[in-house]
Amino acid sequence: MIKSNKGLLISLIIPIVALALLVVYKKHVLSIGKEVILPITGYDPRDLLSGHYLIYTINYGVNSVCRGSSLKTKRPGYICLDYKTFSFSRPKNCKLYITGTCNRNRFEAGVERYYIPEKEAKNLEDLVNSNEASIVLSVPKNGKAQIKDLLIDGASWKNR
Amino acid sequence: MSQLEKLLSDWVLNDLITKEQAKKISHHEENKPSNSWVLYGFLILGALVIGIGIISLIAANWENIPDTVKLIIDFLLLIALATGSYISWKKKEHILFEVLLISFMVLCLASIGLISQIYHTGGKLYQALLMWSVITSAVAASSKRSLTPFIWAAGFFSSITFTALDSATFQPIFARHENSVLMAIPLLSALLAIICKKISGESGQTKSFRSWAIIGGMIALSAAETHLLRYRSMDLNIITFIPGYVFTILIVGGILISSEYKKVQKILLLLALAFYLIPFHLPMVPIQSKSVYAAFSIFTLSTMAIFLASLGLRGLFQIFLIILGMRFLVLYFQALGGLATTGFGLIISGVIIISMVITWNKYRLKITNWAEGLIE
Repeated sequence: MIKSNKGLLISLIIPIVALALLVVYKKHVLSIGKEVILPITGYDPRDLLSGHYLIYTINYGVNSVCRGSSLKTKRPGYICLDYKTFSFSRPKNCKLYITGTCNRNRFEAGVERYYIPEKEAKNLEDLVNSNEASIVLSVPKNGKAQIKDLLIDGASWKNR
Repeated sequence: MSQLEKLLSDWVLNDLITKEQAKKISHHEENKPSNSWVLYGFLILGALVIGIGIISLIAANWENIPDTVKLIIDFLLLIALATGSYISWKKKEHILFEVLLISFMVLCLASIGLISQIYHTGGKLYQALLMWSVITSAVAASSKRSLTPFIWAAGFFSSITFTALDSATFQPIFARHENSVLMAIPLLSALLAIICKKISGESGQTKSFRSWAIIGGMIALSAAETHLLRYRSMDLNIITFIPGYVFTILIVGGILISSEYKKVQKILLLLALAFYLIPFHLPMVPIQSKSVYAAFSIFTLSTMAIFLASLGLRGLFQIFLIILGMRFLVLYFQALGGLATTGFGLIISGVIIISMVITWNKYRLKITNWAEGLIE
């Protein structure tokens, strides 16, 4: 369909630029977002490790998260970290909130997975299971949080 | 002695061609460039293996490579493949161009995975595929063959299917209405095939969208037959059919304004479209039975087969006829399921299968010619 040199050049540049913008956006969120540290627990303690990443549940310190949402359908949800409340609509008067989805009473914000090197996987799984583990998030104004680091007993896992 | 030489000497012996003509044919075949499709296939396979190798190498040394270096290597590879594609296009090295193009597309998907790993994004595979298909749509449109757009379309259609069924935005609408989504996807593919045909004629993009319309249509009809029987009218939500209806209206418009089809061919296409849509709505009327679903599948396949024959597309016509034969066989097992479990039933089934194959082999050409002449 594309027959001109210029057309081909543009079609080849678009994905590279789009991917570069994705990296820039991710870096930008990490730099402008407000840093929040939240404790984590194993989603399934017997199987915290899934391939090359840890899957866990974040303790937002909020009661009744996703309560009242249908078991069958997904729904957008918001956790206000200022007042430790949950709502199905974007919270007003809340400066720091996390945007996510309620999926069968579980709040998913896209930050429930931490990629780890293969060699470190088992060791890190044991550390998370036997110590106080927490996740460092960068939360921008739109609430779309991004992972910054994984802490074991308050220190980055990379420094252990 | 090669197969061609055997054939040529046989034809010469039977006075079908002269010795001189046999020599000319042999010379022509020997000097023809090797089958580019075989070459193309192996080159793509090679490119994919190299790509997977690079990804494995990066993955195996994950912890030793800093994130920034990983990203730099990834972007350098992307730029190198894009440059290679562009140069091979300019030099008119078509096969190399396609191989580099497909490698570039695969690397784009791998790059999304890499970025996702580095920034710990917890997204789903269909979300990555959706992003990939959006950013590489123009790349797929640059291909001169069918395979690249075919692969792209596979990613695109699977990602929009799962977006409809799993994303927080659409899942509340389409949950438990998978059939509406399955009905709409082949229609979208058919619509894209019509648009591509209008823009670029019988291009690789047109062929691949047409193929996905057929494959998707078969999957959707099978799903409707097996799944919808359990439904009652109140279970169907008409809102979920709206995307399918919109695509249908646009397809009907495309068929009606098309100047390349005769009036009868347009009627056949519209009939096939109607027969395709009806099974998805059967739970709304109290005629829920396997044979009704089977009848509409057979009507859809038959009208499409006659339409394809009228266009002189013998290969596609014969594929449809084989599918039709298989559908009849399934119908037989559906109707006489109990009989098929007995020894007597199995003997009858075997006889039917053998008879169908023999009849098909014997009358294939006659059936094709008959179907082609139907419209005239």
